[in-house]
Amino acid sequence: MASPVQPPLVSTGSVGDFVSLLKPRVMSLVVFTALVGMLVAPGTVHPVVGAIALLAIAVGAGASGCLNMWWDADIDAVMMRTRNRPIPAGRITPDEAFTFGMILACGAVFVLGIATNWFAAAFLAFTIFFYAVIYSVWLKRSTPQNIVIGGAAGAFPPMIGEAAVTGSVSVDGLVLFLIILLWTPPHFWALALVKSEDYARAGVPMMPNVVGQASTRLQILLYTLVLVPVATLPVWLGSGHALYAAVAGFGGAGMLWLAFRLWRRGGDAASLNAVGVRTAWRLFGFSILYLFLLFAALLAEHALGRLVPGLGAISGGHLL
Amino acid sequence: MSGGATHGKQGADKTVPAGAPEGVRLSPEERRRQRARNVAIGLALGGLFVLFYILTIARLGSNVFNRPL
Repeated sequence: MASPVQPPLVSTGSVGDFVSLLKPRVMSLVVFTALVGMLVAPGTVHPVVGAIALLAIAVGAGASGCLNMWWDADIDAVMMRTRNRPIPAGRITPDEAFTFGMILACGAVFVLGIATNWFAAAFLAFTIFFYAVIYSVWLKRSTPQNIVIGGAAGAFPPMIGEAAVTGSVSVDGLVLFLIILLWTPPHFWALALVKSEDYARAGVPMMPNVVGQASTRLQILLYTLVLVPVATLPVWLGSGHALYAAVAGFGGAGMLWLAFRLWRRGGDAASLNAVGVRTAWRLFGFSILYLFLLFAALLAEHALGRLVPGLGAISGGHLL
Repeated sequence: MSGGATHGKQGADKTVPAGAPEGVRLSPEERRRQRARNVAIGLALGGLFVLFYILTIARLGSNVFNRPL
C-alpha cells in the first residue's frame, strides 16, 4: 500500500475510531439482510445460536470494512467524503487497523463455525476475502466494473444467514443474493455520477469517469430494468407474499421512474444538469429505501407467520 | 498526529524536563484514550467469555441433564 499519510508512532485512536473502522452502517445492513436470509431459510435454529451467528456475520462484515480502510487509506486521504477516516486522519496506524481487522475476521469465522456449521463459516471467510482482496485490492483500482463484481460481497450475507440455519443454500437465498447484486450498480453509480470528480481525483475508475455520464445513466436504467423483475421472483417462488409483492411493485415502479428520468433528462454526454444531480441523489436515496423495504417486507411476513399460527402458510422458515 | 506526544529527542526541548527519561510520552488526552481502549478490550474479552458460555449451554440444550448423577 502506498499511503501518502505519515502514520503516527503511537496509537492516538479512541474506541470510537476503532468502531468506525468497522463501518457500522454497512454492518447494520448486513445484519438485516442476513437475518432475512435466516428467516426465509427452510429450516430452524435455536434463537440464541441464531443471534450469535448474526453477531459473527456482523463482526465479519466489520472486519472486511476495516481491511478495506487499511488498504484504501491512500485513496481515502484524497477524497472529501473519506479524508477524516481514522487512518488517513492519522489517529490509527495502518498496522493497528490491519491487525484489528485480521483478528476480528478470524474470530468471526471461528465463532460462526462453532456456533452453526463450517460451511457457513467458510462462506463468511470467502466473503471477507472477496471484499478485502478481490474487490479492494484488485477490482476497485483496475476496472469500472469494480462495484458490479465487488457487489457480490455485499450480496452474500443472506446466503450466509441461510447457510448458518440449514448448512446449505437454496434458490430462495440465491434470489436474495441476485437482488442485492443487481441493486448495487444503480445505487453506487447514482452516487458516482454526483461524486465523479472526487473519484477522479483519487484515481478510482468508477463508471462515469471511464465511459462518461450518458453511458452510465443508460447502464443505470438497464440494470434497473433487470433488477425490478428479479425483485419479484420471491413472489413466484413462494417466499414473498402480498406485502412483499406490493413493495416490489410500487418500489420497482419508483426505481424505474427515477432511472428513466435520470437517463432521459439528466444532462448531456459530458455532465449532469441540475435535474440530473437532483434525480441522481433521489435515486441514490430511494434505492436504499427500496432495498430496505423489500427485505423488511420479507422479514415482516416470515416473522408474522411464526407469531400467528393461522398465517403459518406465509412462513418458509422459523427461528424456533 | 493529534495530541501532544513527543517521541525521543525530537521534542525533548519542549515537553521533556531536563533529566527526565526519554521515550514516547503521552498527553493526558492520549492517556485517557489508551485507558478507554484497554477497558474496551477487557469488556470484549469478558463478552467473549459470556458468549462461549451461553453458546455451550444453548448447544447442549436438554442434554445438559442427560448424565448419570
